[in-house]
Amino acid sequence: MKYYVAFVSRMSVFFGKACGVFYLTAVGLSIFEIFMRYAMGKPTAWTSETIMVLVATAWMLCVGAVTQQRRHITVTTMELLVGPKIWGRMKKVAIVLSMVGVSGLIIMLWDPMLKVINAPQTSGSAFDPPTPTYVKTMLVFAGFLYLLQLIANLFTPSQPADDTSKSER
Amino acid sequence: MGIEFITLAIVLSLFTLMAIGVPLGASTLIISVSAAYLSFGPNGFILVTSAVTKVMDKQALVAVPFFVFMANIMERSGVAKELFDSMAILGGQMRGGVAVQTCVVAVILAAMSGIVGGEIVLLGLIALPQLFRLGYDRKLSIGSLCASGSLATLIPPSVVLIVYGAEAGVSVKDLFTAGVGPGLLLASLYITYVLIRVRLNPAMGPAYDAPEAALPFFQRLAFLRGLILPFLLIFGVLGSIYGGIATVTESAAVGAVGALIVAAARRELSIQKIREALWATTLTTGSILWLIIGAVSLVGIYNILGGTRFLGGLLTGLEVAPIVVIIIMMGIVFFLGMFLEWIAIVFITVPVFAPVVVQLGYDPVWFGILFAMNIQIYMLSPPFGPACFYLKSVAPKDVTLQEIFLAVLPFIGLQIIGLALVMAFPQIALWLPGL
Repeated sequence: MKYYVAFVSRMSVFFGKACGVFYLTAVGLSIFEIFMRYAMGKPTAWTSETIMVLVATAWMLCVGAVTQQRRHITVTTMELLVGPKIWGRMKKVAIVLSMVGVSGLIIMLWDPMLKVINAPQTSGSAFDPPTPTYVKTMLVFAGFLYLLQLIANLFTPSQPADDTSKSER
Repeated sequence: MGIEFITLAIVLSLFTLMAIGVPLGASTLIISVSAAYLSFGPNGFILVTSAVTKVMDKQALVAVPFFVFMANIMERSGVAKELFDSMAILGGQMRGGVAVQTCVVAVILAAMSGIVGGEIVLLGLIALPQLFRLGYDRKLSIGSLCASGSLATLIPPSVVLIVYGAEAGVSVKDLFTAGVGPGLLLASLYITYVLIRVRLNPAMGPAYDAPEAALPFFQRLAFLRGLILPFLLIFGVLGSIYGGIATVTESAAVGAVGALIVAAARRELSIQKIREALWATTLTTGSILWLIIGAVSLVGIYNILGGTRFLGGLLTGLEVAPIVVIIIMMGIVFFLGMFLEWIAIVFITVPVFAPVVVQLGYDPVWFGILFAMNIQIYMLSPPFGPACFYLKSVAPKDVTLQEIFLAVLPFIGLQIIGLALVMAFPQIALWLPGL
């Protein structure tokens, strides 16, 4: 199991760190659009939707890293009331329940994903990218990343494996 | 099964799951999946799916990671320390001057980033040790720092206003403009309170002891140079929005690039710092986004079950003056703030409240400002007041959470006064957008 935990954790951190590239590219494209609009007088038809897709990709891919670093927003007041030992057990239950919720999300998104893969949908704008197809597929992928990391968290102690979180809030 | 029972079941399940320690996003997902299946069978899933996929299409939310990245770079650039030092010197040897300048710096930082957590941490690291060293009253120091640090919820480019605007379908630009007046009103209330306390008891706020603070006023003006870079950045972000040059998302990108330039100009930029800032941005925005997905899916299914109509009907059906309905809504937001994260509160309450506000004949921009002011009160209020926890994480070890919560109480009172003023005189918020 420790190989599984190590592999999934590394994968989550890798995808999480890759998200930074998507954000930087999106920032660059936004500036490019302003430049094209005012300096060149030629606003583009594709940057807005491309930025949206880049940011959405980062949002979806980061879920493993957020879970691995245990950064999902959680109310932890009960820890003060029940003590660390019982809280530790409650956290395991919380992970199992989270797995149920995420599994539900994957099941919900599965059929719509198959539908758009068989008959791809586009956004219908002037640029007309296949954004709905992409987003629905990526959401399922993100759901699996989330689930795999939750399973890994179930078998790891509370502290995240990657200690870079110490410098974050 | 009646909607009343469903509402009660959802609320109880939500609190139970949260108490166990299930993340908010997962809690709302579990409930929405269960509600969809129990109400409509497998077909119910499709209803939730469309709500979830729409999250990825909310253009206004794209600005959030850009502003978070900007704040993360600013945090690492050292510009806040220079800003604080310059302002403290400009304040001269006025009693209480450093606490007053902390409030002013907080307003400038709020206009630079829009992120409460980062701002309070910065002030906690830079201003609090100075205030303690000078012998300022501890409660006055802590309270003014937490309260002024929370102004980022209201002063543009506030992330709270972006998220509210995205959910309520209100112009973020209008919300930004409307947030200026109430933000400055609250800052003025905090400064006035500090000055009155120090006037009554001068020992509470000794004068700044740096030799430069004793210089004549015109010589101290030389320290205005510490304000140049922050103001250029603010001008770049807000100027591009109000000048109609860029959308909110584009101006956030301008801010992100501006922050990189500021950090480079101060020779504080490195690949390592950019990587750290990106990682922090990924984790912060990721936790926000997955909470939004859960909240949106829950509200989506609740809406289909008739819950939004039910709650809206309850509010509009009350035989009271419309302003009382607004006060009740504010009370609900305040109550939820004791249990939920602000993003969840926005996505759970705004779909219900926004149509009611319009139906009652009020301006949704004005309501958005009231909402953000209420979120600001939540930032300080026990038991969860996030601002207090942010400060605790960087304050000296002898500062207890209990001391912080006691210190912020007078400032919560000031926030309530500010909220009441904006409620009674909507023009405080609406005069600027109306220009």
